Amino acid sequence: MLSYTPSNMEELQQSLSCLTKDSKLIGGGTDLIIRLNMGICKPDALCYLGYIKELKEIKWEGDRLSIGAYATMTQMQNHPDIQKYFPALVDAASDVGSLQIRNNGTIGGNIGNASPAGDLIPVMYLYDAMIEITGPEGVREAAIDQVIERPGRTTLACNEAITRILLPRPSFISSFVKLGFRKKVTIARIGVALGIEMDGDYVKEMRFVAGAISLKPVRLTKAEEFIKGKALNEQIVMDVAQMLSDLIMEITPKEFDRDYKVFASRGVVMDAFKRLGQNR
Amino acid sequence: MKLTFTLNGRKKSVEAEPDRRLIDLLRKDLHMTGTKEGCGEGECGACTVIIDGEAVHSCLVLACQLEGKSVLTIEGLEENGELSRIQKNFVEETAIQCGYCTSGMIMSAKALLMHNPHPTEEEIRVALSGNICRCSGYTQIIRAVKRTAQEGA
Repeated sequence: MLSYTPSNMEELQQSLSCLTKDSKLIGGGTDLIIRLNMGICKPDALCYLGYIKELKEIKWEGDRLSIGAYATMTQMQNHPDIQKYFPALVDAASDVGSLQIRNNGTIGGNIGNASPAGDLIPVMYLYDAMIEITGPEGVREAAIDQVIERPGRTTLACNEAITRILLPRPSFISSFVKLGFRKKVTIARIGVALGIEMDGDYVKEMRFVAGAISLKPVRLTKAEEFIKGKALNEQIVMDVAQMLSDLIMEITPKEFDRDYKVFASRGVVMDAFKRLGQNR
Repeated sequence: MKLTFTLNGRKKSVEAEPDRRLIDLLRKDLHMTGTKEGCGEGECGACTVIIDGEAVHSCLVLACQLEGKSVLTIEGLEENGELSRIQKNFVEETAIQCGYCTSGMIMSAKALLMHNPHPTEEEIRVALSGNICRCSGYTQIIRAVKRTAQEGA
C-alpha cells in the first residue's frame, strides 16, 4: 500500500494530487483503522496529515477561531478559548468515546466521517462553522451544511482534505448534551446543541440543532421561532422539548430507534437547558 | 516503509507496511507481548499504550502515524529489572485476576499520573472509563491507583 505523509501545506497539495477515489485520508484513524482491520475498506493509499504542524493549531484569526483539522478532542477540550467561547464544543469533545479515543480522534476526522452520530457535527451547525478545504489547486471554504452530504459521505472530492475549521465568535451561550445507552464510551442516540442569547429576562434568539435523529443534523426552527421574546421557565423548556419529540415522531426513521427517541428526547432538551446555565 | 520511532526510551528503526497496526508491530514483529489485544476496535482499552505522553489504543494507530513519536509500553515501566511501583501496587491490591486487561489498565493509570500526580477518585474513574475489566471488578484497581498516587511514584 502507498502512503503519503506530508509535513507541510505544500507537500500536502502534492500528496493530494496523487490520491484516487480509493485513497483514504487519515487523521487519528479511530474509525478508519477498525474498517481497515475488518477488511471492509481496502484503500490503494493512505494520506496521513498529522505531521503538518499548522493542522494541529488552535488560534484566533480576526473574530474567527481557527481549529486545525488534526486537533484532537483532548486538545479542544482543554483549550482556554474554546472553553470560554465555545462550551458546547467542549461538552461534545469531552464526551467522545474514551480518553484513548479523545487523545487520538480529531475534529477533521469527526466531520470527514459524516456519521449521523458524529458528536461534533451538530455543534458545527450550531456555530455556523466554515470548513477550509485544501485541494491540489488551492484552498476554499464551505459552510458545514455544504460539506456533509449524507451518512458517511461528504461533498469533498477524493483529492481534497479538510484542513481547518473556522468558528465565528458567537454572541450566544451554548451547550451540548448527548444521550447514549450508558454514561461513557458510547455512541450518540440523540445529540442536542443549544445556543441562547438573552435580552434581559427574555430570549432574544435561540439556536437549536439536533443530531442523530435524521441523516443530517436538523435545526428545530419551530422552537426557535416559538421561544423568541419569551421568558425562560420550566414550562417553556417543556414546550421546546415536546417540539423536538414531535419532530422525531415525524421525521426519524423507525429503525433509528424512533419510538425510544420520541420519549428520551424530552429529557435531553431539559439537560441541555440545565447545562446552558452551567456554561454561562 | 522505513519507520523510526522511540520505543521505551530507545530509538527503533523497523521496516513496516504503512497500514501495520502498532499492536501487531509490537506483538508480532517485535515479540513484545505485554500489550494485549481485546476487541480491536477501541472499546476495551486492553491494548492501551502511551504515545508522546497520552494514553492511546495501539490497535488504532498505524505505522504511518508513528514516525518520530515516542511509545511507552508496559515493558517500559520496569525499573532496574523490577516491577515499578504502580505494577507492584496492582499485585498487592489484588487488582489483577485473569490479567488480560491489566497492562492496558496500568498504562491508562500511568498516563493519568504523569499528567496529574494526585487525581481524585472521580478523575481516576474518568481516566479508566475506557478500560474494561470483566473479572476483578474496579474497586481494587482504583485502590491500586490511589495508593500509587499517595506513594508518589
